[in-house]
Amino acid sequence: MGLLVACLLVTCVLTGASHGQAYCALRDPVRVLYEAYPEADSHRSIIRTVTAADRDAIERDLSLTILYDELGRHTLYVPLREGHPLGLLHVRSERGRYGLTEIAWSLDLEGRITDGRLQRCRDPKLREAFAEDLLSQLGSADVPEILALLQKEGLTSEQRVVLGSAAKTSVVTSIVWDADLLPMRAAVLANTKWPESEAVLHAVQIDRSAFIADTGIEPLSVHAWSVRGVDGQQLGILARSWVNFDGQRVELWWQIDLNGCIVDVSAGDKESSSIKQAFSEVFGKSTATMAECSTAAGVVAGELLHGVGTSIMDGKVD
Amino acid sequence: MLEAIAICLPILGVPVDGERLQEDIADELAGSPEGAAIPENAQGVGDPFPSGLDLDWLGSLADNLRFTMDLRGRFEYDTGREEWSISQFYGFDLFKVLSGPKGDYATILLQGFATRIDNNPAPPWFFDSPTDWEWVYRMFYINWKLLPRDALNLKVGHFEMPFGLEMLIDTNGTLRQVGTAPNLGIKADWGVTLNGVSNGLEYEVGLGRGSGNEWKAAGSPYALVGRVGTDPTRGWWVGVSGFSADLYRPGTTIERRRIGFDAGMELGAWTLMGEVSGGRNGQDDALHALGELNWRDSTEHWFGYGQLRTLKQRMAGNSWEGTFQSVLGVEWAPDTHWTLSAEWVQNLQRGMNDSRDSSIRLQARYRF
Repeated sequence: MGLLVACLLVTCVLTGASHGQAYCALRDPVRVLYEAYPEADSHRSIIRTVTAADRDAIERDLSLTILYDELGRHTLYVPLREGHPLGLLHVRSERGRYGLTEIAWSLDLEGRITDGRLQRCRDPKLREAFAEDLLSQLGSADVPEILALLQKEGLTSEQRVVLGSAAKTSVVTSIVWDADLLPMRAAVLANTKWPESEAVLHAVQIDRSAFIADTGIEPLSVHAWSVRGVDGQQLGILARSWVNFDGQRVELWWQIDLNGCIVDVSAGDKESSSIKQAFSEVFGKSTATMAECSTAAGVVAGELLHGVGTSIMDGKVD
Repeated sequence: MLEAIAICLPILGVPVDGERLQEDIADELAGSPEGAAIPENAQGVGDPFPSGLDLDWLGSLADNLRFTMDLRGRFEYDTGREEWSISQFYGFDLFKVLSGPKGDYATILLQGFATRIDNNPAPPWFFDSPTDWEWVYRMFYINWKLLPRDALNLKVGHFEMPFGLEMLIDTNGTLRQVGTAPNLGIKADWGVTLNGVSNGLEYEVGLGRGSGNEWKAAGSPYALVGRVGTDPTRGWWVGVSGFSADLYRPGTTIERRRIGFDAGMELGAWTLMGEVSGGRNGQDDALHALGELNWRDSTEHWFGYGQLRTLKQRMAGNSWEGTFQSVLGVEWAPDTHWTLSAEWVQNLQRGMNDSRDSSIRLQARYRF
């Protein structure tokens, strides 16, 4: 897997005003964006910087490096319908035989590739590689799944470029735009967990010093939102944390009611029966009653409630 | 950002913390991508602006903002005059997307340059002499989205003439040009345009003051211009343009009328394109035509082009007079900051008031 990821990173170049072009050359990918999301009525741009520090950190931690050309400001597009995100669109350039090929990748809010379109391509062989069967295999694939596809026998070099571009797009989107995507993901989840009213989220400033070490929760990853209905009525609390649990590292979303009791714990939008089962014993429990659960799940849940609850009690709600 | 990396990479299945790559993989990564001028492991060494200027100090103002300083030096040698002329440009390039709960609602593009010319044989009319300083606006506008899906936008400010190939190709600060300024008599103007994308067509229609870099109302100048064309990202395009203007000149106005047609096709690394327009310069007939064949390498660090172009006018009862030139040019962008260009313009016949046999033009550009 490391070999494949390494190879991917050699071949890709981020789009943007490349090679010193003036910004008047920038164009929104309007055609491919509204082809990919025909129900969208507008889009939002999010421009972020890939820095040398990012490049160094990836290189230091992974022994890989992103290309120097990839540093700088780049744009992620969020197609919207009536202000609600439908997904993501990220256009990346790949070096080809005849210059740069621009591929517009559609992703869900979790950063998984859902579709791809060629925005500009001079290479007929690369166009051929962008066939329906290859794209269908990419549907909702995460990076490990895409890398697994790359290990299949019989792929042409152009197909490898396409798959590599997909994996690279997913990685970079998840890293560079993580902080931007988190509130959107939270909003989508809140509406599924509180379907009775369109949820309005207000961020809670987390006091990470309130978390005790070695409980499994990664304090830096904890984010929480006060969830209210459109009429302002408070519905509950939604929290997100990364947790080292049962030998694996998982992202958990916590639904907490107005009494401070855990209603649900889920692994994002993924159905995970093992997570549900492991945390089922904490449902209905609050900070006061969590001591009854002496299991690992109880420890984690108790720590989460303590840390988030402390911040709310201190009034750190936007 | 580093926290985000630490959080995201493991779940993406990428090996972390101690899982070092095999040596052959590391060698592959350390090598240069094919066509790279600078080995990958040498890029960025000593670069003071590896990802551009740090805008974080601006706080929320930096959201959706791109800002670059743009410096250029241009040197031109005229074999007819046997003299050098030098131009210097010191400016900025700012791009900002304005966004709200319902999405993007406008973009701002501001480009301005303190421009110095030395011994320029044909300075634009707003320079006081062949050696002079002026502040020059390039693109300097806000573009409001009026309808969903970019179907209709309103641009207000200083815009480039949406005519022919000018609408498709970035000639902003480059040696490579497509003849808009000598053909129309104006390249950019203050005014408004309606623009957008609809049913697979791109369009822009504008009304300008007709005075270019400076707002001048004497003589009631104006410029009405527009183009409709197909989407060029499909590998080919066609477009139709129109232009009608009474342009400001010191003490007078000059009339220009044009109808134009442009087309292009990408053939692998090559692109063949052309533009032809005809109309009137006052009482005279006018004709402009340009054909270009260009090539780019796989990394798009190198770009070469060759043009044949002509600009002629004919007074009633007379023959066509004007210029017929060949152009050969090359651009080299060794990294994300530098672009080095060279161009040789050869007059294939001597035109009226044109003493040049050929000219050699060199430019160095640095953006950070």
